[in-house]
Amino acid sequence: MRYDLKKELKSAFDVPAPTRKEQFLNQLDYPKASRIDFIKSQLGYIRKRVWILSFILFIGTLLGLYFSEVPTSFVWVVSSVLPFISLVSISELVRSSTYNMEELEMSCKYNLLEVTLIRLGILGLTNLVVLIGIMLLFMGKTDFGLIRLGLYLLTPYLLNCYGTLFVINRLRSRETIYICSGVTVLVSILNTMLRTSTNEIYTERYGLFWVISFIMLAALSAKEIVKMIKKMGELQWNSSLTA
Amino acid sequence: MELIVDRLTKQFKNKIAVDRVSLRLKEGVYGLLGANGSGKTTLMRMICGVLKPTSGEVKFNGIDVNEEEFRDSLGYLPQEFGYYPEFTAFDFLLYMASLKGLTRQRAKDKAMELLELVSLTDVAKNKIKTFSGGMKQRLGIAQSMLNNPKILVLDEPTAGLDPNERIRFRNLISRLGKNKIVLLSTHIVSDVEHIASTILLMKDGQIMHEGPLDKIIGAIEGKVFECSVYSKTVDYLIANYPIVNIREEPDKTFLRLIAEKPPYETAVAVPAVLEDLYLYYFNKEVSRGE
Repeated sequence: MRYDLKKELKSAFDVPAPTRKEQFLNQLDYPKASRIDFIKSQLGYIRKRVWILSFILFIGTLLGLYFSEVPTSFVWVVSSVLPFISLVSISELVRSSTYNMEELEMSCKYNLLEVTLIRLGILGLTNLVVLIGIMLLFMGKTDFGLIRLGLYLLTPYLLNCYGTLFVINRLRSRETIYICSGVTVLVSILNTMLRTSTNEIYTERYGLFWVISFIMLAALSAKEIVKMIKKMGELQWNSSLTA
Repeated sequence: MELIVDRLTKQFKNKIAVDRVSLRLKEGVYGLLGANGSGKTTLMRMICGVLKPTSGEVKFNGIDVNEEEFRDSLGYLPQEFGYYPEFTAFDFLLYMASLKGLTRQRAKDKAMELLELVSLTDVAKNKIKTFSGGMKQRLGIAQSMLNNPKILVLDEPTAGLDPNERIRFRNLISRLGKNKIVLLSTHIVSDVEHIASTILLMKDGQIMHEGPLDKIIGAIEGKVFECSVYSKTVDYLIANYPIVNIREEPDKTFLRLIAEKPPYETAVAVPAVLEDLYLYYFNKEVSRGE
């Protein structure tokens, strides 16, 4: 059709007002985000303090080892600080219940369980990277092998994981995170006391103690994580749910 | 489009909160009316899949409540909800949109559109902690509509809204009911009366009555009376009949009450309204509560 004829037609007729535009638009299916997009988006919702604390710990260890005259004794310092990394990670996992977002998140397409698993994955990976990084920094600076170093650094960390998860699985309130903070401080103090009261704690004499503690705490932490995931499926009972 | 609730039951220890509730909901606005503790919230939570039923099932177009596809069709406003303290209203909607599976660009567009709809555009970049109760409630309503849900479940949506906001919200819900299943719970009778095409009256975990307003009211039609009486008769009537309204007049007391037959010689039968029915069913609870 000729352009000027089209123009003539347009000017000759009034365009009718759209009818049922809203209903029509509502019927359209918009493209949805993929699961990968969703995981990426969750990365942005992990609070900055997780990254900052991990970074500070890594840099602190690096500087500590550089300036420390006895790197072996610096192991207990780092192992006493590591529980705080797990506390920050745990606080991300219980953020939904701390701020009463559970119910909203449970009702979404990607529900609380998926959000928690993704957060768990991201935070677990971050902690792992930090721990490996720290262990690599220690390698060659101490007489400990990689396994012994891992046991000394990770056992207090696992004790804190178990302690805080134990609390979370049994107490669900906005105050839970404060109790978890108390647990972390206690673990950190215990670790320091163990080192100061028992000079030989990092010797082979106590090897079995570290191995058994590590295995037990790893198993108990895993059990508590499974328990926590199972509980994510629905709101936990309390008197307000009968309303 | 059909939401089927089949013999849904929830028992908390020795209390049955919801007792074998069965419903078939199609497009329209359904008003769930009941006193506090009647089981409304528990029923809604089970319909949204956030609470597992003791028995029974919920399906939307054959899709089970536990499936992701069901949640993809759902918009939910809980009675109480929180927010992450660092969030602005816009951040909150973007976060909820990400959980609802919207793309980033779509989330931004939809968030702005809904903030406009609930009149929060001016404060979109403000932290939620600075918001009033009514503003938070409007934000909650906005998040429930982010994914253009086919099922919209609103638990006490008008709580905290001022009269103007309530009217605006009622109008919005009425419009939405044309192509969605909207289930809203409230104990504010006038909200339900104005917007619900079907009323569900809930008591002790069971649906006592279900139907349009005129059918529901039919249960007490001819049983609502008004009279003006002297004080000694007032005490007798209060003690023996469910009272809907009392108003002191210069020399007498005006009463609106419900009775099987005229409770007093000067009493006249008047057309029933939903509030009469509500008070008729929940009168004992109200009296006990007082």
